[in-house]
Amino acid sequence: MLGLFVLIAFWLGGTVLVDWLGWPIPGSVVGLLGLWLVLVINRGVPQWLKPPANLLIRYLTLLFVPAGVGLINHWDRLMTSGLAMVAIIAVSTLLAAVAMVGIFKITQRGS
Amino acid sequence: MTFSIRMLSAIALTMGVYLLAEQLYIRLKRSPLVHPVLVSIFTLMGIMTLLGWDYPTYQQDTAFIHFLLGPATVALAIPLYEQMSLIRKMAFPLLVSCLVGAIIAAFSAALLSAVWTGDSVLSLSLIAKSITTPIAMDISAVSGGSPSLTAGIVLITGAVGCLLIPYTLKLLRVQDDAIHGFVLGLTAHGFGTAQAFEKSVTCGAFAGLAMSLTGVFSAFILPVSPLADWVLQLTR
Repeated sequence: MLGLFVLIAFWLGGTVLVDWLGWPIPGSVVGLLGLWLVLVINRGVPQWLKPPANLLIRYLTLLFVPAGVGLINHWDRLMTSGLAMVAIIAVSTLLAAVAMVGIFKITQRGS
Repeated sequence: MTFSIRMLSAIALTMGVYLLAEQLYIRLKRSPLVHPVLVSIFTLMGIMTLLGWDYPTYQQDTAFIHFLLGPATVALAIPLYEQMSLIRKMAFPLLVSCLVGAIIAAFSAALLSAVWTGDSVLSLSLIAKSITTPIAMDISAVSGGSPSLTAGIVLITGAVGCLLIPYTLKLLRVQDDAIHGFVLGLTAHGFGTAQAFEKSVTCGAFAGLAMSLTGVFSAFILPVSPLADWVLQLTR
């Protein structure tokens, strides 16, 4: 429970900071960075933080099922531009992959 | 507050369907086509249609599951921290390719869609397509897209990436597991990370790293980039 409390506390801290600064960034991401910073300073992950964190990450995909079911509200859009959507996603995925591999090949040749 | 039978059954049904879908996924040798999330979502949509449930009520009833995305996102700091020594070794190429990859993934999808479909909500929702869902939904809301549409797009992107990336990398003659994982994690987030862990631990670690980095970079860059404005101009 302490682990879960700490995760929620960092989420809250991040959200307060984002709200205060007026940043268009999710508070949970700022909480992630905050926790990462604290772990670096602490030079280790406390034992009590591992079980809740591992459970949440293990079932991360379950957590977005409720939001995904919301696709039901976009059924018409899926029927009209579903194929275009998949084609766009495929092209964009290939472009990103080729560019990334290119960068790795160039930097490795240089070193 | 009393917990109604309706609310408890929505939560139990969602978890039950997911756990069954996961068993199916394992039985079918982890093919990305039967990813537990895709199977659960379409099954639940079918059940909801049969029972006559409407989405806003279901969304309210399952708010507890959705809530856990917050602490889960914060928890991603732990694998990121644990991979620090790996990151330091390849820091420069990793950072550059992650930045370039994340920008290409977002810009190419949103602009292609703006030109092709002319649908502004769809195009804005595509901006966050390669980002892990908890972060993607927030970015989508901030950029003017639809978080629920983005959640679906992210799932489709994950499945497409898991199908295409292994062949693409073979064609490009990539043999390094670290690079394989990194590309898979950037383009196919959690789906890619799960697939990468099946290949090797190094592959999985780098996929997890790419997923976390892409999420963080995108959260800082995309909302302040001119991409959303460009999309709106193209679809006007």
